[in-house]
Amino acid sequence: MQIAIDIEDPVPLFAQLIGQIKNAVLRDSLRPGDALPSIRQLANDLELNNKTVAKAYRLLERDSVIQTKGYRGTFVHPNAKANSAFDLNALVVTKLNKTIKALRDVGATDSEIRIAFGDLMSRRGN
Amino acid sequence: MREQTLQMLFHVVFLSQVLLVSFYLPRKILGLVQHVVEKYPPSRYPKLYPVSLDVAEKAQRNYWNLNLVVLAVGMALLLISVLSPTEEMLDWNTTLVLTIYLMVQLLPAMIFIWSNPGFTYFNLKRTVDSTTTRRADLHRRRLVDFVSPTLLRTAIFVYLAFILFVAYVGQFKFPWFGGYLNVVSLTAMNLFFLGLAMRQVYGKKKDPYQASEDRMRQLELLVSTLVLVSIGATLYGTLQIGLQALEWDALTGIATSLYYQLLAVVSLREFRIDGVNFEVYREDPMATALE
Repeated sequence: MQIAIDIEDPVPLFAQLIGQIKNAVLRDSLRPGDALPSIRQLANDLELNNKTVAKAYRLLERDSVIQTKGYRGTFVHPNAKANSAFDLNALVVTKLNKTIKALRDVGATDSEIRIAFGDLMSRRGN
Repeated sequence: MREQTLQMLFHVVFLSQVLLVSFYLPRKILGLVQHVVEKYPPSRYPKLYPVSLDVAEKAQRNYWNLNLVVLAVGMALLLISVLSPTEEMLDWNTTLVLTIYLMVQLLPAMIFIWSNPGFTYFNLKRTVDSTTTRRADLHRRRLVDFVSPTLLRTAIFVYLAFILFVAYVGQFKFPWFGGYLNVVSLTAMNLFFLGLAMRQVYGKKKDPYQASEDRMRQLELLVSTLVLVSIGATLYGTLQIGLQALEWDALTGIATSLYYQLLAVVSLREFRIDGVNFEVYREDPMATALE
Protein backbone atom coordinates (compact mmCIF):
# COMPACT_ATOMS: atom_id res chain seq x y z
CA MET A 1 0.00 0.00 0.00
CA GLN A 2 1.56 3.23 -1.18
CA ILE A 3 0.62 6.80 -0.49
CA ALA A 4 1.54 9.82 -2.55
CA ILE A 5 1.75 13.44 -1.50
CA ASP A 6 2.24 16.47 -3.68
CA ILE A 7 4.55 19.04 -2.15
CA GLU A 8 3.11 21.78 -4.36
CA ASP A 9 -0.50 21.05 -3.55
CA PRO A 10 -2.17 23.94 -1.63
CA VAL A 11 -3.50 21.37 0.85
CA PRO A 12 -1.05 21.22 3.80
CA LEU A 13 1.22 18.17 3.76
CA PHE A 14 0.00 16.86 7.13
CA ALA A 15 -3.60 17.13 5.86
CA GLN A 16 -2.68 15.19 2.71
CA LEU A 17 -1.15 12.49 4.90
CA ILE A 18 -4.23 12.30 7.10
CA GLY A 19 -6.51 12.12 4.07
CA GLN A 20 -4.45 9.40 2.40
CA ILE A 21 -4.28 7.24 5.53
CA LYS A 22 -8.01 7.61 6.17
CA ASN A 23 -8.74 6.71 2.53
CA ALA A 24 -6.53 3.65 2.85
CA VAL A 25 -8.52 2.58 5.90
CA LEU A 26 -11.85 3.19 4.17
CA ARG A 27 -10.69 1.16 1.12
CA ASP A 28 -9.56 -1.69 3.41
CA SER A 29 -6.01 -1.27 2.17
CA LEU A 30 -5.19 -0.78 5.84
CA ARG A 31 -6.94 -3.03 8.32
CA PRO A 32 -7.34 -2.80 12.11
CA GLY A 33 -4.13 -3.90 13.78
CA ASP A 34 -1.89 -3.26 10.76
CA ALA A 35 1.45 -1.76 11.74
CA LEU A 36 2.16 1.69 10.33
CA PRO A 37 5.65 3.02 9.64
CA SER A 38 7.36 4.95 12.39
CA ILE A 39 7.34 8.75 12.18
CA ARG A 40 11.03 8.74 11.25
CA GLN A 41 10.61 6.09 8.57
CA LEU A 42 7.66 7.83 6.92
CA ALA A 43 9.31 11.26 7.17
CA ASN A 44 12.46 9.92 5.52
CA ASP A 45 10.56 8.09 2.80
CA LEU A 46 8.49 11.16 1.93
CA GLU A 47 11.39 13.55 2.61
CA LEU A 48 9.29 15.53 5.03
CA ASN A 49 10.09 17.09 8.37
CA ASN A 50 9.52 14.70 11.30
CA LYS A 51 7.18 17.27 12.83
CA THR A 52 4.86 17.17 9.81
CA VAL A 53 4.42 13.43 10.09
CA ALA A 54 4.21 13.64 13.88
CA LYS A 55 1.36 16.18 13.56
CA ALA A 56 -0.50 13.95 11.13
CA TYR A 57 -0.10 10.95 13.46
CA ARG A 58 -1.20 13.01 16.47
CA LEU A 59 -4.38 14.10 14.74
CA LEU A 60 -5.08 10.59 13.47
CA GLU A 61 -4.67 9.30 17.00
CA ARG A 62 -7.02 12.01 18.29
CA ASP A 63 -9.59 10.83 15.73
CA SER A 64 -8.97 7.20 16.85
CA VAL A 65 -7.87 6.13 13.37
CA ILE A 66 -4.49 4.95 14.68
CA GLN A 67 -3.14 4.07 18.11
CA THR A 68 0.41 4.28 19.41
CA LYS A 69 1.57 1.48 21.67
CA GLY A 70 4.82 2.93 22.95
CA TYR A 71 7.97 1.17 21.77
CA ARG A 72 5.89 -1.42 19.90
CA GLY A 73 4.92 1.17 17.32
CA THR A 74 1.83 2.60 15.70
CA PHE A 75 -1.11 0.50 14.58
CA VAL A 76 -4.46 0.98 12.87
CA HIS A 77 -7.19 1.43 15.47
CA PRO A 78 -9.74 -1.38 15.86
CA ASN A 79 -12.56 1.06 14.95
CA ALA A 80 -10.53 2.94 12.36
CA LYS A 81 -12.98 2.43 9.52
CA ALA A 82 -15.92 3.95 11.34
CA ASN A 83 -13.76 6.74 12.74
CA SER A 84 -12.22 7.54 9.34
CA ALA A 85 -15.67 8.18 7.89
CA PHE A 86 -16.19 10.87 10.53
CA ASP A 87 -14.73 14.19 9.40
CA LEU A 88 -14.05 16.41 12.40
CA ASN A 89 -13.08 19.36 10.26
CA ALA A 90 -16.35 19.17 8.37
CA LEU A 91 -18.21 19.09 11.70
CA VAL A 92 -16.33 22.19 12.90
CA VAL A 93 -17.21 24.07 9.72
CA THR A 94 -20.87 23.02 9.90
CA LYS A 95 -21.25 24.04 13.56
CA LEU A 96 -19.44 27.33 13.02
CA ASN A 97 -21.61 28.07 9.99
CA LYS A 98 -24.76 27.53 12.04
CA THR A 99 -23.48 29.68 14.88
CA ILE A 100 -22.37 32.49 12.56
CA LYS A 101 -25.73 32.43 10.77
CA ALA A 102 -27.59 32.56 14.08
CA LEU A 103 -25.47 35.50 15.26
CA ARG A 104 -25.99 37.40 12.01
CA ASP A 105 -29.73 36.79 12.28
CA VAL A 106 -29.77 38.62 15.64
CA GLY A 107 -27.88 41.56 14.10
CA ALA A 108 -24.27 40.95 15.10
CA THR A 109 -21.74 42.26 12.58
CA ASP A 110 -18.94 40.11 11.16
CA SER A 111 -16.40 42.28 12.96
CA GLU A 112 -18.15 41.76 16.34
CA ILE A 113 -18.34 38.02 15.74
CA ARG A 114 -14.65 37.91 14.74
CA ILE A 115 -13.48 39.90 17.82
CA ALA A 116 -15.60 37.84 20.22
CA PHE A 117 -14.36 34.60 18.68
CA GLY A 118 -10.74 35.75 18.90
CA ASP A 119 -11.18 36.80 22.57
CA LEU A 120 -12.78 33.51 23.50
CA MET A 121 -10.07 31.49 21.77
CA SER A 122 -7.36 33.52 23.55
CA ARG A 123 -9.03 33.01 26.93
CA ARG A 124 -9.29 29.26 26.31
CA GLY A 125 -5.59 29.21 25.46
CA ASN A 126 -4.74 30.86 28.82
CA MET B 1 59.37 -29.67 1.89
CA ARG B 2 56.04 -29.08 3.59
CA GLU B 3 56.95 -25.41 4.03
CA GLN B 4 57.81 -25.15 0.34
CA THR B 5 54.47 -26.71 -0.64
CA LEU B 6 52.62 -24.33 1.66
CA GLN B 7 54.59 -21.38 0.33
CA MET B 8 53.72 -22.41 -3.25
CA LEU B 9 50.07 -22.80 -2.28
CA PHE B 10 50.14 -19.35 -0.71
CA HIS B 11 51.52 -17.84 -3.90
CA VAL B 12 48.76 -19.49 -5.95
CA VAL B 13 46.08 -18.24 -3.56
CA PHE B 14 47.57 -14.73 -3.55
CA LEU B 15 47.70 -14.72 -7.35
CA SER B 16 44.03 -15.66 -7.28
CA GLN B 17 43.32 -12.67 -4.98
CA VAL B 18 45.19 -10.29 -7.27
CA LEU B 19 43.36 -11.49 -10.38
CA LEU B 20 39.93 -11.83 -8.75
CA VAL B 21 39.75 -8.45 -7.01
CA SER B 22 41.74 -6.32 -9.47
CA PHE B 23 40.77 -7.92 -12.78
CA TYR B 24 37.80 -10.28 -12.80
CA LEU B 25 35.46 -8.35 -10.48
CA PRO B 26 36.08 -4.88 -12.01
CA ARG B 27 35.59 -6.44 -15.47
CA LYS B 28 32.33 -7.97 -14.33
CA ILE B 29 31.12 -4.70 -12.82
CA LEU B 30 32.00 -2.71 -15.93
CA GLY B 31 30.34 -5.37 -18.09
CA LEU B 32 27.19 -4.93 -16.04
CA VAL B 33 27.34 -1.16 -16.47
CA GLN B 34 27.80 -1.56 -20.23
CA HIS B 35 24.85 -3.94 -20.38
CA VAL B 36 22.66 -1.37 -18.61
CA VAL B 37 23.79 1.43 -20.94
CA GLU B 38 23.03 -0.70 -24.01
CA LYS B 39 19.69 -1.99 -22.82
CA TYR B 40 18.53 1.21 -21.12
CA PRO B 41 20.11 4.06 -23.13
CA PRO B 42 19.95 7.75 -22.08
CA SER B 43 17.60 8.58 -24.98
CA ARG B 44 14.84 6.38 -23.50
CA TYR B 45 15.80 6.30 -19.81
CA PRO B 46 17.10 9.82 -19.11
CA LYS B 47 16.46 9.63 -15.38
CA LEU B 48 19.10 6.92 -15.07
CA TYR B 49 21.76 9.35 -16.31
CA PRO B 50 22.02 12.51 -14.17
CA VAL B 51 25.40 13.13 -15.83
CA SER B 52 26.30 12.84 -19.51
CA LEU B 53 27.37 9.47 -20.82
CA ASP B 54 30.83 10.93 -21.60
CA VAL B 55 31.43 11.79 -17.96
CA ALA B 56 30.24 8.36 -16.84
CA GLU B 57 32.43 6.61 -19.43
CA LYS B 58 35.47 8.63 -18.36
CA ALA B 59 34.89 7.58 -14.75
CA GLN B 60 34.64 3.96 -15.85
CA ARG B 61 37.90 4.21 -17.80
CA ASN B 62 39.66 5.73 -14.80
CA TYR B 63 38.26 2.95 -12.59
CA TRP B 64 39.55 0.26 -14.97
CA ASN B 65 42.99 1.87 -15.37
CA LEU B 66 43.42 2.20 -11.61
CA ASN B 67 42.58 -1.48 -11.23
CA LEU B 68 45.24 -2.34 -13.79
CA VAL B 69 47.82 -0.35 -11.80
CA VAL B 70 46.82 -2.18 -8.61
CA LEU B 71 47.01 -5.48 -10.51
CA ALA B 72 50.58 -4.61 -11.52
CA VAL B 73 51.44 -3.81 -7.89
CA GLY B 74 50.01 -7.18 -6.86
CA MET B 75 52.05 -9.01 -9.49
CA ALA B 76 55.18 -7.19 -8.30
CA LEU B 77 54.41 -8.20 -4.70
CA LEU B 78 53.95 -11.79 -5.82
CA LEU B 79 57.25 -11.79 -7.73
CA ILE B 80 59.09 -10.36 -4.72
CA SER B 81 57.53 -12.99 -2.48
CA VAL B 82 58.43 -15.84 -4.86
CA LEU B 83 62.03 -14.68 -5.16
CA SER B 84 62.40 -13.86 -1.47
CA PRO B 85 64.07 -16.43 0.80
CA THR B 86 61.88 -15.49 3.76
CA GLU B 87 58.44 -16.93 4.46
CA GLU B 88 56.89 -13.59 5.45
CA MET B 89 55.90 -11.26 2.61
CA LEU B 90 58.28 -8.30 2.21
CA ASP B 91 60.13 -9.79 5.18
CA TRP B 92 57.45 -8.23 7.37
CA ASN B 93 54.10 -9.77 8.37
CA THR B 94 52.17 -11.61 5.68
CA THR B 95 48.71 -10.93 7.16
CA LEU B 96 49.48 -7.22 7.45
CA VAL B 97 50.83 -7.02 3.91
CA LEU B 98 47.75 -8.83 2.58
CA THR B 99 45.46 -6.48 4.49
CA ILE B 100 47.24 -3.37 3.22
CA TYR B 101 47.19 -4.75 -0.31
CA LEU B 102 43.46 -5.43 -0.04
CA MET B 103 42.94 -1.78 1.00
CA VAL B 104 44.90 -0.78 -2.11
CA GLN B 105 42.74 -3.12 -4.21
CA LEU B 106 39.62 -1.40 -2.88
CA LEU B 107 41.00 2.08 -3.65
CA PRO B 108 39.75 2.29 -7.26
CA ALA B 109 36.20 1.54 -6.10
CA MET B 110 36.52 4.03 -3.21
CA ILE B 111 37.85 6.74 -5.52
CA PHE B 112 35.01 6.07 -7.93
CA ILE B 113 32.38 6.19 -5.18
CA TRP B 114 33.76 9.30 -3.48
CA SER B 115 34.41 11.32 -6.62
CA ASN B 116 32.12 12.73 -9.26
CA PRO B 117 30.01 11.08 -10.62
CA GLY B 118 30.22 8.13 -8.23
CA PHE B 119 29.50 9.72 -4.88
CA THR B 120 27.27 12.42 -6.24
CA TYR B 121 25.29 10.04 -8.50
CA PHE B 122 22.25 9.91 -6.27
CA ASN B 123 22.55 13.56 -5.25
CA LEU B 124 22.62 14.48 -8.94
CA LYS B 125 19.54 12.37 -9.53
CA ARG B 126 17.78 14.25 -6.76
CA THR B 127 18.87 17.58 -8.24
CA VAL B 128 17.45 16.83 -11.66
CA ASP B 129 14.30 15.25 -10.23
CA SER B 130 11.54 17.74 -10.99
CA THR B 131 8.58 15.69 -9.77
CA THR B 132 6.57 17.15 -6.90
CA THR B 133 4.93 13.88 -5.93
CA ARG B 134 6.53 11.79 -3.24
CA ARG B 135 5.57 8.23 -2.51
CA ALA B 136 6.00 5.94 0.45
CA ASP B 137 4.89 2.52 1.58
CA LEU B 138 2.44 2.43 4.44
CA HIS B 139 3.88 -0.63 6.11
CA ARG B 140 6.47 -0.69 8.85
CA ARG B 141 9.99 -1.80 7.97
CA ARG B 142 11.97 -3.71 10.55
CA LEU B 143 15.58 -4.77 10.26
CA VAL B 144 14.66 -8.40 10.85
CA ASP B 145 12.31 -8.33 7.84
CA PHE B 146 15.33 -8.27 5.54
CA VAL B 147 17.29 -11.26 6.78
CA SER B 148 16.27 -14.87 7.27
CA PRO B 149 15.83 -15.91 10.92
CA THR B 150 18.22 -18.84 10.31
CA LEU B 151 21.00 -16.57 9.09
CA LEU B 152 20.48 -14.18 11.97
CA ARG B 153 20.49 -17.01 14.52
CA THR B 154 23.67 -18.37 12.90
CA ALA B 155 25.37 -14.99 13.21
CA ILE B 156 24.42 -14.68 16.88
CA PHE B 157 25.50 -18.27 17.61
CA VAL B 158 28.85 -17.80 15.85
CA TYR B 159 29.47 -14.55 17.75
CA LEU B 160 28.70 -16.11 21.12
CA ALA B 161 30.81 -19.16 20.24
CA PHE B 162 33.69 -16.82 19.40
CA ILE B 163 33.48 -15.18 22.84
CA LEU B 164 33.63 -18.62 24.47
CA PHE B 165 36.53 -19.59 22.21
CA VAL B 166 38.46 -16.45 23.19
CA ALA B 167 37.81 -17.21 26.87
CA TYR B 168 39.10 -20.76 26.32
CA VAL B 169 42.27 -19.70 24.43
CA GLY B 170 42.90 -17.00 27.05
CA GLN B 171 43.65 -19.73 29.59
CA PHE B 172 46.85 -20.65 27.79
CA LYS B 173 48.36 -17.17 28.15
CA PHE B 174 49.90 -17.00 24.69
CA PRO B 175 52.14 -13.92 24.49
CA TRP B 176 50.74 -12.95 21.05
CA PHE B 177 47.11 -13.31 22.09
CA GLY B 178 45.14 -10.09 22.32
CA GLY B 179 42.55 -11.65 24.59
CA TYR B 180 39.21 -9.88 24.89
CA LEU B 181 40.45 -7.14 22.55
CA ASN B 182 39.43 -9.57 19.81
CA VAL B 183 35.88 -9.56 21.18
CA VAL B 184 35.87 -5.76 21.42
CA SER B 185 37.03 -5.46 17.78
CA LEU B 186 34.43 -7.91 16.56
CA THR B 187 31.69 -6.25 18.58
CA ALA B 188 32.69 -2.84 17.19
CA MET B 189 32.53 -4.26 13.67
CA ASN B 190 29.09 -5.77 14.29
CA LEU B 191 27.81 -2.50 15.75
CA PHE B 192 29.14 -0.66 12.71
CA PHE B 193 27.29 -3.10 10.42
CA LEU B 194 24.15 -2.67 12.49
CA GLY B 195 24.38 1.11 12.17
CA LEU B 196 24.95 0.81 8.44
CA ALA B 197 21.96 -1.48 8.03
CA MET B 198 19.69 0.74 10.14
CA ARG B 199 20.73 3.79 8.16
CA GLN B 200 19.76 2.09 4.91
CA VAL B 201 16.51 0.59 6.22
CA TYR B 202 15.17 3.67 8.03
CA GLY B 203 17.06 6.47 6.30
CA LYS B 204 16.20 8.51 3.23
CA LYS B 205 15.85 6.91 -0.17
CA LYS B 206 19.06 7.39 -2.11
CA ASP B 207 17.44 7.05 -5.52
CA PRO B 208 14.30 9.22 -5.78
CA TYR B 209 12.99 7.17 -8.72
CA GLN B 210 13.63 3.68 -7.39
CA ALA B 211 10.58 1.43 -7.30
CA SER B 212 9.48 0.29 -3.86
CA GLU B 213 9.96 -3.41 -4.66
CA ASP B 214 13.50 -2.75 -5.87
CA ARG B 215 14.33 -0.86 -2.71
CA MET B 216 13.05 -3.75 -0.57
CA ARG B 217 15.06 -6.24 -2.62
CA GLN B 218 18.18 -4.08 -2.33
CA LEU B 219 17.71 -3.77 1.44
CA GLU B 220 17.35 -7.53 1.73
CA LEU B 221 20.55 -7.99 -0.25
CA LEU B 222 22.44 -5.44 1.84
CA VAL B 223 21.31 -6.67 5.26
CA SER B 224 21.88 -10.35 4.42
CA THR B 225 25.32 -9.49 2.97
CA LEU B 226 26.26 -7.65 6.17
CA VAL B 227 25.16 -10.63 8.26
CA LEU B 228 27.15 -12.99 6.02
CA VAL B 229 30.24 -10.78 6.31
CA SER B 230 29.80 -10.72 10.10
CA ILE B 231 29.67 -14.53 10.18
CA GLY B 232 32.67 -14.71 7.84
CA ALA B 233 34.71 -12.26 9.91
CA THR B 234 33.94 -14.14 13.14
CA LEU B 235 34.90 -17.49 11.61
CA TYR B 236 38.04 -15.95 10.14
CA GLY B 237 39.00 -14.51 13.53
CA THR B 238 38.46 -17.91 15.11
CA LEU B 239 40.54 -19.60 12.42
CA GLN B 240 43.41 -17.12 12.77
CA ILE B 241 43.59 -17.55 16.54
CA GLY B 242 43.36 -21.32 16.16
CA LEU B 243 46.10 -21.48 13.54
CA GLN B 244 48.43 -19.36 15.64
CA ALA B 245 47.69 -21.37 18.76
CA LEU B 246 48.54 -24.59 16.89
CA GLU B 247 51.66 -22.87 15.45
CA TRP B 248 50.46 -23.37 11.87
CA ASP B 249 51.54 -19.85 10.96
CA ALA B 250 52.25 -20.85 7.38
CA LEU B 251 48.52 -21.29 6.84
CA THR B 252 47.50 -17.88 8.19
CA GLY B 253 48.47 -16.11 4.96
CA ILE B 254 46.47 -18.60 2.88
CA ALA B 255 43.46 -18.28 5.19
CA THR B 256 43.66 -14.46 5.08
CA SER B 257 43.84 -14.26 1.30
CA LEU B 258 41.00 -16.76 0.86
CA TYR B 259 38.88 -14.82 3.34
CA TYR B 260 39.45 -11.55 1.48
CA GLN B 261 38.50 -13.21 -1.79
CA LEU B 262 35.33 -14.54 -0.21
CA LEU B 263 34.48 -11.02 0.99
CA ALA B 264 35.01 -9.68 -2.51
CA VAL B 265 32.75 -12.33 -4.05
CA VAL B 266 30.02 -11.76 -1.45
CA SER B 267 30.13 -8.01 -2.03
CA LEU B 268 29.45 -8.59 -5.74
CA ARG B 269 25.88 -9.53 -4.72
CA GLU B 270 25.22 -5.79 -4.38
CA PHE B 271 25.59 -5.38 -8.15
CA ARG B 272 22.68 -7.55 -9.25
CA ILE B 273 20.28 -5.99 -11.75
CA ASP B 274 18.01 -8.92 -12.59
CA GLY B 275 14.46 -8.09 -11.72
CA VAL B 276 15.13 -4.36 -11.29
CA ASN B 277 12.33 -2.15 -12.57
CA PHE B 278 14.04 0.24 -15.00
CA GLU B 279 10.74 1.67 -16.25
CA VAL B 280 10.80 4.23 -13.42
CA TYR B 281 13.76 5.87 -15.16
CA ARG B 282 11.89 6.49 -18.39
CA GLU B 283 11.14 9.94 -19.71
CA ASP B 284 8.26 11.52 -17.78
CA PRO B 285 5.15 10.72 -19.91
CA MET B 286 3.56 14.11 -18.97
CA ALA B 287 6.68 16.02 -20.06
CA THR B 288 6.71 14.12 -23.34
CA ALA B 289 3.02 14.86 -23.91
CA LEU B 290 3.52 18.58 -23.30
CA GLU B 291 6.36 18.85 -25.85
